[in-house]
Amino acid sequence: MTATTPLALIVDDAATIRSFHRDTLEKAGMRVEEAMNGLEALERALAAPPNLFLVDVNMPQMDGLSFLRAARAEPALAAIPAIIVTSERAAGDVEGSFAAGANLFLSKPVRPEVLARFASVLAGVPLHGASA
Amino acid sequence: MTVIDSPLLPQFIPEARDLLEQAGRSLLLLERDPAAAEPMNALFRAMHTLKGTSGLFEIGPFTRLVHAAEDLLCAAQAGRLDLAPAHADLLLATLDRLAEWIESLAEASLLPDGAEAASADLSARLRAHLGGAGQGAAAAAATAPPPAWLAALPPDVLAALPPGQGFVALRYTPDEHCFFRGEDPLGLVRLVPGLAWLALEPCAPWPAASEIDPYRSQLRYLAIAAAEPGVVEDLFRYVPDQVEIAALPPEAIGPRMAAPGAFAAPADEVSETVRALLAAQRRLLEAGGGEGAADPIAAGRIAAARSAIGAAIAHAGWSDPVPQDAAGLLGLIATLEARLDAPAPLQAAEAPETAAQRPAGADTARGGPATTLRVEQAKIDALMNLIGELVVAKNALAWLSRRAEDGSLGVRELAREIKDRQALVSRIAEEMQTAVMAVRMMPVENVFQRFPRLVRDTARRLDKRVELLIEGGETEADKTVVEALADPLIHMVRNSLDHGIEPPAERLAAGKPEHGTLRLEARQGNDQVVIRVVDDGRGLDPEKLRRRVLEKGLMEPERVEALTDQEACELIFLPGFSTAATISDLSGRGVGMDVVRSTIAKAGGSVSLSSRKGEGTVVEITLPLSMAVTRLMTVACGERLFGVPMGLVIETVRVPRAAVRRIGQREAFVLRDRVVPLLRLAHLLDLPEEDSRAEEEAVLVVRVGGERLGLVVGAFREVMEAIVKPLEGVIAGLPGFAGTTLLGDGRVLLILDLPELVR
Repeated sequence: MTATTPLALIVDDAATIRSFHRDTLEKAGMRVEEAMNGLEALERALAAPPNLFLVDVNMPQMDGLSFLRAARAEPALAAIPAIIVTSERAAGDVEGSFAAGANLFLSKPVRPEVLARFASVLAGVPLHGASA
Repeated sequence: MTVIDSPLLPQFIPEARDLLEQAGRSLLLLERDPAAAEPMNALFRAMHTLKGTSGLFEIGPFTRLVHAAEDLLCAAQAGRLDLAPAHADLLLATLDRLAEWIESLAEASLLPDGAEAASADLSARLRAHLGGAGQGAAAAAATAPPPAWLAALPPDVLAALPPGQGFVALRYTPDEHCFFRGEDPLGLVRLVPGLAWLALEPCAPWPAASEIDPYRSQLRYLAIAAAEPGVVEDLFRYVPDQVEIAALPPEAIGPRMAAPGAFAAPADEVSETVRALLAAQRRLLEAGGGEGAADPIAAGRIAAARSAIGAAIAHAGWSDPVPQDAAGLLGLIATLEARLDAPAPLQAAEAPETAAQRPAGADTARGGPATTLRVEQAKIDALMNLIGELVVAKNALAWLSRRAEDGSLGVRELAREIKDRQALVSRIAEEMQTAVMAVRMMPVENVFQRFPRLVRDTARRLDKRVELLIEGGETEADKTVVEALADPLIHMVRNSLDHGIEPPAERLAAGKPEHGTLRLEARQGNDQVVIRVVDDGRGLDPEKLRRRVLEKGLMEPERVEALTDQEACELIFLPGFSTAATISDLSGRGVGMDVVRSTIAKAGGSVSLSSRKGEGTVVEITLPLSMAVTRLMTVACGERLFGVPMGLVIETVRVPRAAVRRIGQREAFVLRDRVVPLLRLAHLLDLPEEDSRAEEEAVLVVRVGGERLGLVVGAFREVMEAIVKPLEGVIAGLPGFAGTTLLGDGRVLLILDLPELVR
């Protein structure tokens, strides 16, 4: 994989979920970095802006929505597509996620092929490995 | 039950154990202080994370039970429910059950038989605290033909549902006066088990803002849940006329694959993806729209929507320019959606994509469960640095050997160089030893953390009020030591609760506070961990203990009479002793304090006890910090050498033969005004008596079981640090010896098990 391979940043406090998402995205042809909460994600993103955020909502220290709002307020990160993947399911959570700047809301557990498809499109992975 | 074959399962198990432990701790804190926000949040987060992660595996009963517990906590967190002891009991039972299932998953990769029923039972009991009074019969709603609203559910939502699972959709239109009856429609909907999607829509087009009556319910709830229709009907049994429930047909679920559309329309999977993305971007752009320019992240949302729309356009193979402002973007979305709709999408329900393969079976081979050690990064780093130094030191030796070979160094110079290198290597070896020991260290907290629960449950069963205080949980000791501590501590804590702390009425009568206090303290002493179990209960009665020992004939009467009160308290460590007249089911179980003492002694430690009648009891356990490396005193007995753990040695004295007194069959000597019994090592080991004409006896004064003893040995030798190996193979059961170690000259040194020898 080269440095132009899209980079996704997975933000989730549950290690098993991170592994699951990492497997899924790597199989879809992405590079992956992980952060355990919003604060860590913000630091990592500012150091090396990714092509996609994959964000959980309920996390210690800084939750996913606060992270998204911070990212959307930050010119360097504002335009990076973000998928909220959460087990929060109430309507308020969906609205809150979009209001915070999420591009897509998916419910846990998300099926790998669904996640892979949306993530590839949003991160701009070339289709079927066909390089432009 | 299905066997879970996921490479993620081994990762999930320790994570789940941690979460359950964290949840249990928080729950106990919460029980003490129901208003505390932090434990509530921690508890909720733990269950929430557990629910999310467990969803990765096909362990439905587990996930559903966590979900029910989370719902209860959610209600408590929102202030809709006050956590009562009954809730805590139920939640603890839930945590226990979940922990049991995790162990079953760890062992056999599947949930135990009966998990389904247990989950349903516990979930129902959890939800019973939420659903209001009574258990009215479920409304027997006939399954109607699929209503129109079912077909109008958003396709992106249906596409994201996992196929092969039963889903139910519901449309709930609460009565507009429902708030006046104390109903909580949203709360009710959120109780639906396995809720996968929820949307709200107005029942009628919104009137002007000034016309809205906030006291009327004007919303309709649409939801999809992974649940049985019957369960959902039961939940809505008080409002059967306001809800429509229908099972989703299986073909409606999962991504839709279709033959490529006509003309230049993109393939259906692509068009569905693009459609879902565009719909989501519309929601993003419309979210918070009312706040206008004051919204600090409005520009960010637009930027984010632009990139996602751009990505969707690229995915569809189009080339439309992407406008800069929200209005332009919304217009573009409408245009693109119209384009997608133009050729009617073909409804062909086919098997889901074949790409849904399981992760490759690279690591499906599963060995036995490995024991793992969690180590702080810093400790490994320290070790790594030392290895670096060792490599450098090793290279210096190579250089030195070349110099020795080519004769450029004189013997004297060479000796000095070797000595220098040796000093360096031995410093590194020492530091590495320390560093590796540090890796094995763990806080005693790991053992202590089970006590809040144990004390709570036990006190409740005994109808006693007990407050547990834990101090020094961060004190570290070797993993094996901490683990060796667990069982004796449990026994002692149970003893304190059972026999020590009095029932509330008795305490009040004695002028004590109703609440008993039990303190668990840990601190690090010199090369030792000291653990104390302190209670303010009724204490031990030395007279009673003496009587009991005499009744049972455990000791000769004259010896019993000679005991001080303090020594009499230690009588409870005698084998065959039990203070309570009737053995209760708590501290009884046929295990006495003598077993506690011998367990601790096996780990190289000692136990002592002091008590004041009516005031309480203190039991103190002293353990070596590490069982891996032990400081030993070597002593000679005839030709042979033996090791005695330094932890037992008080001092070494030389006693003039004339000062040794004979008392009956025994020997003793006076040390600083106290009579110390004397034993001869040669006797104890059945070795020939030494024919020594020396004027003095070499006496090792040791503390065994709280008592001071003099041990006559042939001679004292050096104190050394050694790795003690337990006795193995045919000599494993050999009494009197605790283990072996290797001496510098290759001989095997036997380590004496003094408590066993002097018994």
